[in-house]
Amino acid sequence: MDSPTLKADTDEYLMQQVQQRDESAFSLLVQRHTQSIHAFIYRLCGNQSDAEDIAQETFLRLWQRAAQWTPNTVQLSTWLHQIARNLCIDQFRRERSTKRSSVQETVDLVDSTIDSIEDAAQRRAIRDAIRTLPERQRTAIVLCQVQGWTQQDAAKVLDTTVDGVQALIGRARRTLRGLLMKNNE
Amino acid sequence: MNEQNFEDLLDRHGSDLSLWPENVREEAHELLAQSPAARSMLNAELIVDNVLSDAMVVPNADRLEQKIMARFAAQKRRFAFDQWRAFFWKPAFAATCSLAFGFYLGAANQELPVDLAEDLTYVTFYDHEEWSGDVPDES
Repeated sequence: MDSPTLKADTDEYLMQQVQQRDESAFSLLVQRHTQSIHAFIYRLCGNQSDAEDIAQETFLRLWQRAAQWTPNTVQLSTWLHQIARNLCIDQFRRERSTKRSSVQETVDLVDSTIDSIEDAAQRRAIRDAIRTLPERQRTAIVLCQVQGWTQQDAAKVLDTTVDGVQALIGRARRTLRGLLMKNNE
Repeated sequence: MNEQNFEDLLDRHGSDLSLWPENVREEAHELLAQSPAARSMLNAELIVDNVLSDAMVVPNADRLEQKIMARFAAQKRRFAFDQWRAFFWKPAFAATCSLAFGFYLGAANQELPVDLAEDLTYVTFYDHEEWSGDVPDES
């Protein structure tokens, strides 16, 4: 039943339709959120193949767990990012258990994108720094500094407070900065 | 302002000093003029900003939406089964447990204790005699 309070093109309306197993609404949500979810996952895991797999799994979870989503508690976009982040963490754990470096792909990503930094030593330092960033710091940096999210929204994804997000970003930036400075000495 | 304060402010407000609170901006500029360590921190912060903005580049996910919908179509039947199972397993489990408990009780009490069986027999006969009008004279 259509809710009179929701416009037909909002995420909330489409999710209500998905909860009633409307596949066309699901398809619209996929079209709407695929790019941002894929970019977020890619920036966390740094590997295109994994990013595509996890993005697919994220949307399948959306369909499976649609009943668990309630409007007015969390925006759909935030909820999707929470699902994607949890899947990335699972992936990191799997990789760690198979002795494959979970951040090697992140390093590859940075390698391919930091050509603007000409100094190879600095590049290596940043590579090392990103390798050492804990997942929560990396997520906070990606959401707020790269994707331009507000700290309030990032706090919901990370299940923490705004102060917590600020602390995570601060620690991450300090780590990166400290390693660059050490490299310059 | 010392280097420690400067670094804290750098963490909080980033490398663009024009975005820092007005009351600390002038002191920050003074410290930068005097301290090579502060200049080094700011320089590193600028590089971090560069790296992060470069990290925005994400390769194009070719036909990802179609891949998602194809995988969804392939798994839809399984989802329907999962949903059916999720809906039915709790009542089915409860019914099975009740049934099993009933069988257990029935099997455990198949033979009544002798005293109870005698009492039941007596009551049954007594009632029968009462109904038939042959009530024993107790006087």
